Amino acid sequence: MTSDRLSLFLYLAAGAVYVTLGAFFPRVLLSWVEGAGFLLLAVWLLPALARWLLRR
Amino acid sequence: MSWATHDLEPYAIQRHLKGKVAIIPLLIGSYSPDVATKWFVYGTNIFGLEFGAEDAAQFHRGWPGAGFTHSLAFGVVVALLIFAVSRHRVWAVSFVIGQWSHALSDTGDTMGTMLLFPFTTQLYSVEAWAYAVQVGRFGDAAAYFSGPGFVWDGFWVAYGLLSWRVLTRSYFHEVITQADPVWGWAGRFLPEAALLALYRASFFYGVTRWTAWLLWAHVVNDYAFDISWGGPDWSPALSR
Repeated sequence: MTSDRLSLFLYLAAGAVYVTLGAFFPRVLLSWVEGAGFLLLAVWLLPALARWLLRR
Repeated sequence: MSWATHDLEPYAIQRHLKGKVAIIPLLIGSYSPDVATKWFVYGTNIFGLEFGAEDAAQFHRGWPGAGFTHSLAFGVVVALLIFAVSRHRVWAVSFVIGQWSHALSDTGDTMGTMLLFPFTTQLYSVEAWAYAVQVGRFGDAAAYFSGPGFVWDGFWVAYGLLSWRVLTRSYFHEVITQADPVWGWAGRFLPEAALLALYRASFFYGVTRWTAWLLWAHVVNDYAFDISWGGPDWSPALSR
């Protein structure tokens, strides 16, 4: 999988999770900071952590 | 008020004005009318103490109150302050465009905005969807995502998705970072993946919460759709 496709997949997966969470727990939809933090976690921090663990 | 519109309009403006605007002050301008006041409009509970406006609509859109943040003059004054401090014309222009887009978008609800404050406290409105802050965040969300408001937001979701090229890595490097030195500075501390996520965050937030609120209102709950002008009829809408 190319890095662009992997990136698109991560964004779509993050979106699906966030929408599902938001539909059942709408309080998570009220804060831009939490939304942006969730995105950073999903498309940057967790993939970076996974890559680091795989390299070890 | 509008919900996802304020997240998405800046990307549409970015698409058309390209390097003439900077996305960060554009977004800050778009959020600025409500950023310091919305918590007080809906009220909040801190350590058991209730804080909130006695008359939420008057505080949000009126004078006396914080309604001046939805005036065109407010955007100009803050933009002049930004220019005085930074000497960065693009930041100042971007802020005022973002703030004006918010103030004009909010004329769509039944309450409207004091666009021409301080010259007049007249509220200007086309009364397309119900203004219902007085029933709290969730009641307001239920009304907005059941009436013409969700259609208005949906237009910006669709337009944003059609403008997907502004979200690409190449557009980010060729246009966004060239228009604003903040991205170059941030790039000294953060990798590209984090910068791109921050650039795309408001778009992500707008599209996903529009979808989630619709599901919450009509799948998890059972609020009735009513996209008649000024609707939904079942919501207690406030007007000028």
